[in-house]
Amino acid sequence: MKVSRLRIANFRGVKSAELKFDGHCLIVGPNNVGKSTICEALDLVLGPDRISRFPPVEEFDFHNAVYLTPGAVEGEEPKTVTIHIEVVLTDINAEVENRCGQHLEFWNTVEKRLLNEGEVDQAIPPLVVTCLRLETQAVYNLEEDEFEAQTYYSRSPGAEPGELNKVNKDVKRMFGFLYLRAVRTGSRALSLERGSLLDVILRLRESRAGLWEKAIGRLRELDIEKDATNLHPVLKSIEARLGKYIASDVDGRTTKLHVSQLTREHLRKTMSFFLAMSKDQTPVPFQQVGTGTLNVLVLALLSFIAELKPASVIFAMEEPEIAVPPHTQRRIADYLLHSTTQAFVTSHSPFVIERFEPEQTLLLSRGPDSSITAKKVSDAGGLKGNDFKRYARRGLTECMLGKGAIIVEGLTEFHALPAAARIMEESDSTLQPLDISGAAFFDAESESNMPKFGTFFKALGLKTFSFYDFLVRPPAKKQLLTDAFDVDCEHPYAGFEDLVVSETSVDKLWAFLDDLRVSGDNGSFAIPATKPTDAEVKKLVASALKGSKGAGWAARLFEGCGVAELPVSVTDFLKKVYAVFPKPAELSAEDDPVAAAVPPAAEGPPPGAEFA
Amino acid sequence: MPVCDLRQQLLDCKGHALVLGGPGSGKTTIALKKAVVRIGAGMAPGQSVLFLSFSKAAVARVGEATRLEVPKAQRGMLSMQTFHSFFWTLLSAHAYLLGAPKSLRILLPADEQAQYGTIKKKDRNVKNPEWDKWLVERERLFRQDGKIAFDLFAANAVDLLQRSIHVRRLVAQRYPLIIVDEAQDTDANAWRCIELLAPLVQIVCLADLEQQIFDYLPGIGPERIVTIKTSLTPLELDLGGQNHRSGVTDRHIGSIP
Repeated sequence: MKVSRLRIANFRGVKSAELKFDGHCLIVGPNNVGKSTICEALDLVLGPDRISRFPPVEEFDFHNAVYLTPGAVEGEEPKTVTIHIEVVLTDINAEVENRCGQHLEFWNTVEKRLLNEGEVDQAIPPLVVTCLRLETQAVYNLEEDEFEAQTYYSRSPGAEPGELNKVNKDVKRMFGFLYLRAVRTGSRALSLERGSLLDVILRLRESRAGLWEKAIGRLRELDIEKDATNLHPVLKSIEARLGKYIASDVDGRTTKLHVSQLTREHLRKTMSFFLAMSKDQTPVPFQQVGTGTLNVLVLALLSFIAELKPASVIFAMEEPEIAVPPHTQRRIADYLLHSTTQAFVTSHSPFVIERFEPEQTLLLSRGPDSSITAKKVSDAGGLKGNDFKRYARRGLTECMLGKGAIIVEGLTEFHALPAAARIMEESDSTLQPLDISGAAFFDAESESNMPKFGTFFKALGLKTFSFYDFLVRPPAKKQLLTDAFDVDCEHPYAGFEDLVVSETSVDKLWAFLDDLRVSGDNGSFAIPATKPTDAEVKKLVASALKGSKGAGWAARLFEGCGVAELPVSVTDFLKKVYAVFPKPAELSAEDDPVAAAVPPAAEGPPPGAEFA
Repeated sequence: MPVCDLRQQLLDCKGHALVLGGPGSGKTTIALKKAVVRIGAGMAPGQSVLFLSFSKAAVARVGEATRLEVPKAQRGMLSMQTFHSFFWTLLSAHAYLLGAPKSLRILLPADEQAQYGTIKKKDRNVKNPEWDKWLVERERLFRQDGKIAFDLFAANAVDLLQRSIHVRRLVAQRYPLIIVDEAQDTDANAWRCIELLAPLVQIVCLADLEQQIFDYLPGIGPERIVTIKTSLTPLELDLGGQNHRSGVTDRHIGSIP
């Protein structure tokens, strides 16, 4: 089974949201945008054990913690606010179809909507499939003074008017929804609490029979007094004193010590997974093991579940990359893609992100009125699946998750511009460092690639900047660049090397060459020991930069410069970038109401500032 | 009781079948045995054998027989329904696809009569403009107000099954074997439903030509048997007139469920 649509109202940071999914889904987006909220929302509807927790939700699960609105008139009963989460499941298997037949509806897979009244002639495969609409409603019960949550079939033709039929736990279990949060991953996986990976495996293997009963029985039989003979007289004398007040007709001893008063539920929480990681180590509880080891263990359990071949697995996992090396991240991603019916993954890691197709990658952003809007990366214009994969690890993902993309046409600029930016930032504390602003450099590798990436990042809502060589272009080509970039900078030189040699003092250029020669880093590139003519120096530098693009020599040249000595075309361009991302106002240590009233500037530029 | 060769043929039969026989000849018994065999052959999760009858009384009678013939563990996989309740299940879930409101209620006969008033039974035909007017209103009540009269059940169920492959598939997937009791009394629409499902599921029709309740209606009775034979090309079994049943027969005239 797969989630095709999710609607959320009044849940946590989300006032309202409607998201549509096509199979596997990688959710990316800045912090606090609502990635976890989506996973939690799915859990509230699909997780078999989630709403039987007490309380199923709490104050802060309600949007802005508002679960009651005061009555319109003084003295009137306050009104309750409902958390409302609805899931449309498609790819319903025969068992669920048979068991939930009355609640089935029909889903148009292309228009991504339910069939409506009178559309019987469309209820034909494969365009239209059956679907099951489920919703969880959570509300504060005034009389009981507690929070309640219940999952219903949204389509309940057999229910009384105004009511809906409840979805039972055993039905939910057929969806196979599993959720691993970023926090407490270990205990979600390795404890024996309901719904943990270990619990799921035991259930699938049907290995639980008698587990709790037998364990409790053996604990009860454990004779503690046997090992503590000095306890015996103490208990005896307690019994004697007790006997003075309460007559007992029990033969023999009336008191006894037990290991604990364990019940099945206690045992679930108490039982712990131990493991030993080296020969000289006795097994330790899993909580003591490193995060990385735990996450690898999670992977092992996941592949175990896959081998048990449950009919359906919908897996939600937050940040599988935490504390595991890249190759393990890839394995986790591959497991999710190949062994689950549908996976929901949140990630900031390029090694995970590159495993998903752009069609499967959903970029979340906040819309107006606390709504969430989602955009498929593939819909963000221009970029093909191959581009996406190829560039995923080369900064594409860092840019995607940031606020601004500075796109250059080659490796030399990609090395040199950040070096120049660092020098500017070091000398001027009023500038907000670009990497802190969330503006990242991106090497498009050629000028012809630039509009494509510019359009892509712009469509994702980023500010886009370009920096490239002068060329006589047909107006249509130029237009592509102007359209793709918020700040479109064509510097006046035919090549970046020309820019550098023209706008840097000969002394600096020579110092750079001399340093290369003295350090021996020049390799086979011949540099004379004594300074030749100015023209000769410029020619040498230009040819050095052109000949060894990958060596980062342009950056090295810039690093030897003060701010005033950097090429002015470069600094002027970077100033425009800094203007778009100004430093937020410093908060004064004192409680200054005027300063506090200034809106935070980090979110975006002041109106009109960016196109100065 | 050992099963005779004739009856064994039915138990072994994988295709459609027609069992003819008089009252007490053991049609229900052998049909229930057939259900037990089918259940024993393995059912997918959520599947059951559907036993369709005309009246609640007939369903109750089959229910009694079930307690004798069907082991307890398998009774859950035997679904006994009247045609009306079967149609209602279909319609309440899906009739909105035909243009009715999503929420559907039954227009009870008493409420129907309150609406069409004093039209006498003999005048309830299409030649009577008053009755015709009521038929139009009855249709409107279904499509606009979501109140459906019993007489509209079968025709709309046919409409759903005919027009949506999905609806057909869902019924067939749930009921791999459908037993139709008193098949000689199925009217055109009820029979059409069975015909639409026949390519997807196994059908066993039980019929008794001596006992027809509705044979004053066109298409019902011997004609229906002929249709069953030509349309399903079933294995035919004639249990004859022998009566294995003790005591008087317990026929009930089909009433509204």
